[in-house]
Amino acid sequence: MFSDNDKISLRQFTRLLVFDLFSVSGLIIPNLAAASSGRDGILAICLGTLYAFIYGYLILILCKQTGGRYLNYCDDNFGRFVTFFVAIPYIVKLFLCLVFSARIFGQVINQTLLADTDNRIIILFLLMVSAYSASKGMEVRARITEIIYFLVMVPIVLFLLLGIRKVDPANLTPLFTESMKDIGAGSYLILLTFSALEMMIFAVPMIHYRKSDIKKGKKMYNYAARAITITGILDILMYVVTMGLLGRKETADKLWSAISIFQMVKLPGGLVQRQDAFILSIWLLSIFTLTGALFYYLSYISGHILKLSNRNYLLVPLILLVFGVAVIPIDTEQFFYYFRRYMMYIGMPQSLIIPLLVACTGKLKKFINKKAVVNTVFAFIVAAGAVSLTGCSDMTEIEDRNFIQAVGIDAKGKDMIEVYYILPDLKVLTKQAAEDPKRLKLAFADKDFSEVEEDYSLENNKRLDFSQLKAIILGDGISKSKDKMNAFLTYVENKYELGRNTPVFLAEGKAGDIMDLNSDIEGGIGDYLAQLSRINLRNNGIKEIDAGDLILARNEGNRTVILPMLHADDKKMRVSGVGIYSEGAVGFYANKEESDFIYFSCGFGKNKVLYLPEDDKSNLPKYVIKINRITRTMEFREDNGKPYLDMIVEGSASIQKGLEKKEDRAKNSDIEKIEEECNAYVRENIAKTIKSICMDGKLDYMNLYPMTGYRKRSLWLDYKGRQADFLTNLSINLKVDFHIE
Amino acid sequence: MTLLHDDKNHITALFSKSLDENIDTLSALFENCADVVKRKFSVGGANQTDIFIIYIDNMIDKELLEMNTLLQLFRDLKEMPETDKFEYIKNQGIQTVDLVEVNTIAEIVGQILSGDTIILVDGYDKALKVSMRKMPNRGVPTSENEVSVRGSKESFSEALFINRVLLRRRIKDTNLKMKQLKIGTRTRTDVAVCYLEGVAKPEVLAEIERRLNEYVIDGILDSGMLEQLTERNTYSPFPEYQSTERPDKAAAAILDGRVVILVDNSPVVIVLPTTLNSFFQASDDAYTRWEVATFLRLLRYIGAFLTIALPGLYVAVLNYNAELLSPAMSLSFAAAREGVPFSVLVEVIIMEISFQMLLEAGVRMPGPMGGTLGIVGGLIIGDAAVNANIVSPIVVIVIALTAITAFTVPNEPFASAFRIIRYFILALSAFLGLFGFIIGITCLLIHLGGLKSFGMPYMVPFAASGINHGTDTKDAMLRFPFRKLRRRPLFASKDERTKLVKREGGKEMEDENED
Repeated sequence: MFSDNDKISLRQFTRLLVFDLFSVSGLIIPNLAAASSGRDGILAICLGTLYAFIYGYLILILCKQTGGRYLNYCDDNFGRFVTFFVAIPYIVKLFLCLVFSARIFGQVINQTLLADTDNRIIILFLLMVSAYSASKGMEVRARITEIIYFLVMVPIVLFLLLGIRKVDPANLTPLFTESMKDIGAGSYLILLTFSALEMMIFAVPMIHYRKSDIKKGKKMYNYAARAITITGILDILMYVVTMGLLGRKETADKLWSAISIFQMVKLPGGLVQRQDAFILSIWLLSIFTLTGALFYYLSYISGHILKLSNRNYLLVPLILLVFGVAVIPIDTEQFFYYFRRYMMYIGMPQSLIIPLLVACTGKLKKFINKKAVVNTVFAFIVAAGAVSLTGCSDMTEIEDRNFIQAVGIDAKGKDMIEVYYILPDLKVLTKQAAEDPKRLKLAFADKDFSEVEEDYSLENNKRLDFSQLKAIILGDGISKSKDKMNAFLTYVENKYELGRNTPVFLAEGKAGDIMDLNSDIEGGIGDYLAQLSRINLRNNGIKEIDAGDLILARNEGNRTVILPMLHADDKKMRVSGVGIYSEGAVGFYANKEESDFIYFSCGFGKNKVLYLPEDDKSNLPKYVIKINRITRTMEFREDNGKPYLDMIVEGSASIQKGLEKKEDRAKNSDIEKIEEECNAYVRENIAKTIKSICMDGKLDYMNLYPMTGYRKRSLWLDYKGRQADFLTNLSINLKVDFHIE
Repeated sequence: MTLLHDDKNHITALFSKSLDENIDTLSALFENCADVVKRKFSVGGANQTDIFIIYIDNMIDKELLEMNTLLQLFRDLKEMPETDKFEYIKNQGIQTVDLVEVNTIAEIVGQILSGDTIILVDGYDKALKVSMRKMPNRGVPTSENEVSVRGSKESFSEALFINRVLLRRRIKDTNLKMKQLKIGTRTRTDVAVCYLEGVAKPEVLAEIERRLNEYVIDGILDSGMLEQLTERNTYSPFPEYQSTERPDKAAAAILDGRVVILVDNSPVVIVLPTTLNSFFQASDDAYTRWEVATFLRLLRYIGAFLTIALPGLYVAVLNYNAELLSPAMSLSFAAAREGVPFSVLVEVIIMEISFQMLLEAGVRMPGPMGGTLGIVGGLIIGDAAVNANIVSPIVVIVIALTAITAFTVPNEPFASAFRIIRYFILALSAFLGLFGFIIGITCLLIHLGGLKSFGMPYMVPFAASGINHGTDTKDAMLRFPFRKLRRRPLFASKDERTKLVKREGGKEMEDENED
């Protein structure tokens, strides 16, 4: 029979360790790395992971020195009184880690999954379930971890791998731009996230070595190293995706900025609109493993010094204590600041110093053959603070929400904004006739977005819900104003419910004109724009622009974003061109024809149709050519401190109209001629576009400078903070090569 | 306590050499027992002696008694000796192999109540037990609750002796042991512990024997009562034993090194130890191709998850995390909920309880009415409720799907546990949305992780996938091809794990992975 001996296998130990190391740390590592080491955060993570191998090794060495049973060793050599003082720092550290974990996750869940629920309720439940897990002992925790290991890891890894596709390498490069001091400090901070390795000193006696393990000479360090390697890889993936999607500023600004990426990565299939809740729920499973572990070790150590036969009795007062501290009204960022300082100066050093002292003194005592003489009785007083909870969880039933389909924003006067919400026609869905189209468009004019929301709540009996928002349309009054754009992007950044993957469009005039078309468009304007964005624009190889891209551009400062522009005709709308967002506002507008060449120069434009004009431009086009495939190759060079760019736009195309019927050889010659004409035409127009926008307009619409970060590091460093000079000095050698099929 | 019984209902009356005294004792014990048939005869020629025959009406084969025993007693005992009359009667008067001497009144009474015939002889303080049982029984019925497409259709019946035969017929091995004992001071129910000696773990056998003797109870009427009496996880809805009415499933369990307990008067046997995985294994999994068996098993696991999770997930997503749904779905759900007078939670609870009532009524209702109940309850009332906008059509789909998926698990007591857990998860989801749902699932996992059945962790092999060379996982969510299943699961003794070897050149090749 399996015995209830609180023993776990080596494999279970590895899996437990991976969860302990990654579950909470994974969320804050991008922030720690970006804030301390900037673009070199990845180096800090690699170094920190390397330190972790050494740290783990030292912990196991010290554990070996103390005979494997750390606290018993203390008891035997120094007596219970000394053990008490040895255990106290561990108890304090575990307690603070638990408070930090409960606090951060309480806040994350509050912000993402349960926006209307009291944070204290979330923390209390989190603690209760963790304590329940701890009460079952090490064996049960190990079993659960083994069951959920792949259930948690596979979706998270898949999700991160999918996220890599969207990563902008310019956010991560160039490397080695920060000082060694910053990288060193960052790597130490990363090492702090591996502090759970310290618990190995208590876990070692619980490892069950099977005969086969001993035969094969399996060592615990190998398993710990495996867990550190897996965690290190996951940390790097997490950092790359977070930094690559959010940019340095946003990643470094918020402790759990990584949560935002959950919204931005799209899962294939389309069943789920936003998978952030799903990924977070899966992640939560691993959180309970860590918080359960903290409770377990806390009760284990406390139980040992109190000589309690049943340590589970300690869990109730521990829940109350942790809860009491976790709900103290202090800003989480501030709390983290103190916690980080504690971990840097006390938590981490103590994990090596205390066992080292214990081991050395123990050896010395044995050497001089003295017995411990001090053995006194002590008491551990547990203060329980019950915090009364008010009310229950708040929620709104699905039918009591207004799922906004599209939002239109216009400027009104100097300071005001006008916001339009398009509601879904539920009556059509239930086949109970149709709603009055006018009632499906709500308009509010106010000073800022929160006032608009307040106005909405005063006028409507249903909750405003942005979770199904399909499109945002910005009127020209908003898109041209830096202040208003900034206010809008800040609103989106802070409103978690409003998905960052929501497509954004510009209106040629007022957004209200586009919103007025809602009743004329089948399925409503939200559906139409979502389809337009996801099917038609993507079919043309045009990158879908969402709110996240604009936030990234705003935060990073040196990015531009090309936004599709809509024009309202009588009872229909069309894409009429593009607007280029740069330095806080949309500063350049291009018509349909110009936008084609803007896209071509950016490497987009698959399925676009080119109309090659006759010499006399008033005539019908000479050739109609469809672009089947387009790629762009960029190579930066530096010569005498000046930047050069070799840009090749190539692809394949097919002639739709204009090719005369001839025999094969003559036909081939015609095709070659058309090919030459086509390449010349495209080249000429792209060059014209680049000149007018980049060179003359000083608008880096292709994000050339950020691109040098990963293509030509020396250029990036030379022109750091001098982006305008970069464009002035840049010489572009453009080559267009479309192969006519 | 009476004059003839102690306070534990044990018979204290003594066996006398005087037949009349013994008759008086038995008459007193069986006073007002109309079903007891007794008669005193005189047999033998010159040295006539009195005998007394007693049995319970319709529990024996009367024809056999009269033709084979009584006839012989009257016809063949003409040369009765003066002494050793008892031995003479035993040897010359009764033509049967199943003849045993009994020496106490308690034994006599026990045998009579078990359906044997007792013959007492004057002048002797011992009696003869002649076994000619013929109790009314259903024979070997067809399995109704664990139907399989392929494989045996037989089911255990209420008669223990038939159940024993059903097992013995499948395992013709002297190592198949059937230890029989009686439980219940009043019911004296026969309980048989069946196992394969050498294959079943001795510590599991010792443990079950210890537990069977742990309590003194007045009566055991079904294996379910025995199960509850001996289980350790009293406050868990999950069964610690697996129950089955299929002899082939029980035989397969015995071959795997598990122990089967037969209880007289119960058509359901209990199997131990058990794991969560065992409950998802249907008997015909072993009879069908591995691809099909794997597919069906995966369906069962998905079904089990849905039956626990679907209502909770529905409430959590609708009330808290609608962003998880695609836009079309969320709008469709919102539209369906328009005008429904109840909250989502109340709506789900109403429908769930209605369905459970329907289910319970269907079980209790006489057979022919069951179909009508399904049509009236399920279709007519459900349709009317949706048309009257009392409930939304989506919730009907959710509850129906939940109900259907519950039946994919091929073990009713286990599926019932899931039905109860569903409410716990529903409550948490209604309170804390997706967070509550995850809390519920985590609590469930912790609970299951801590459960053990006779020392076997409930979550094996998922919680210890590498154990037993990882072979247990080959018959878990996926069922590997039959030839790959060479080892017995963890239930078996370590030395007897090999169950399949390939013969090559007339020589058996041992599994390479042998311990």
